Amino acid sequence: MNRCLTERTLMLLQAGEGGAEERAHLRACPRCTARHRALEDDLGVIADALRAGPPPGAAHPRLRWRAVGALAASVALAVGAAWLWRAAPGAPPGGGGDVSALVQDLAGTLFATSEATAAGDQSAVDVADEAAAPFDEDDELALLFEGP
Amino acid sequence: MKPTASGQLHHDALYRAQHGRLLSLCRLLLADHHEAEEVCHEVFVKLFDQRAAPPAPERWLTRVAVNACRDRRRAGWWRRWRERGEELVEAEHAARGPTPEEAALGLEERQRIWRVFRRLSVRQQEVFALRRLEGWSTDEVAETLGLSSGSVKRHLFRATHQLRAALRGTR
Repeated sequence: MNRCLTERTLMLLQAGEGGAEERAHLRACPRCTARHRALEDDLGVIADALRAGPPPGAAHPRLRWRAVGALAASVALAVGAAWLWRAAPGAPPGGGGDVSALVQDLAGTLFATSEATAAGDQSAVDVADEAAAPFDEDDELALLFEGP
Repeated sequence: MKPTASGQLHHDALYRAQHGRLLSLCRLLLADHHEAEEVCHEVFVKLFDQRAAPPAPERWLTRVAVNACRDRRRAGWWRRWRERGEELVEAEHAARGPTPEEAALGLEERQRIWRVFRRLSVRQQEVFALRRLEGWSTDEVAETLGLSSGSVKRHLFRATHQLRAALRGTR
């Protein structure tokens, strides 16, 4: 065997595998012997680094990209939902292009919906109407003194 | 069923002998000290739940730990993101007491190696950890991970190639 060993074969030999022919070449060829030694040194350094535990700033690179992706998707979803709600029939007129106003509208709608779900749709609306109506002192007195 | 007294002694001895190795392996696969501790704990609880110690306990523990780490990585990324402050704790933990290995390695070099290791596929990480760090044979790794020997060699070659490139700063 005259040709030098490939990197893959060197790795196999380093892992205790590979054929007799490759081993014979490794013993005979100074260049392959040096490459083999360099591979062993590199693997030793890599193993030490991994055994020593993660250094500062090396953990979860994928996670950071996932987080950025999740954040971008959330923003896109919120803007899309606001735009759809604005474009839906029955929405208040005067839809301008102000995204923050749309998001505020959406937040208000979501809040009202959750309140209504918690206490029953109509009762929540009634309570809201009563709260919004101006206080009438005469009506209140009439209710207090109304006899059977 | 609870283990007998002799079984309990055997389990305790196993815990003392294997805990450090297993924690190191889990930390390697999860890159998070606290999660590694949790997984390690789960693995030993599973061992204690066994009626008798498995025939090859060291290998059994490693196999269960590798599977548990894989499950954790599949299911828990959102939780790790939520509790991302732990990353800093981990960094402090790693930076606090330098071992001889740490002293010998440059911080930048270690960061490069770890970044590339974290970018490897889960399979490549598992194969590299078991084959190169745990010293298992190709056939043992193949059997444990449910792969063919050829796949193990392929994963090992790719992982080694990328890690060496990182070490030499050619990436």
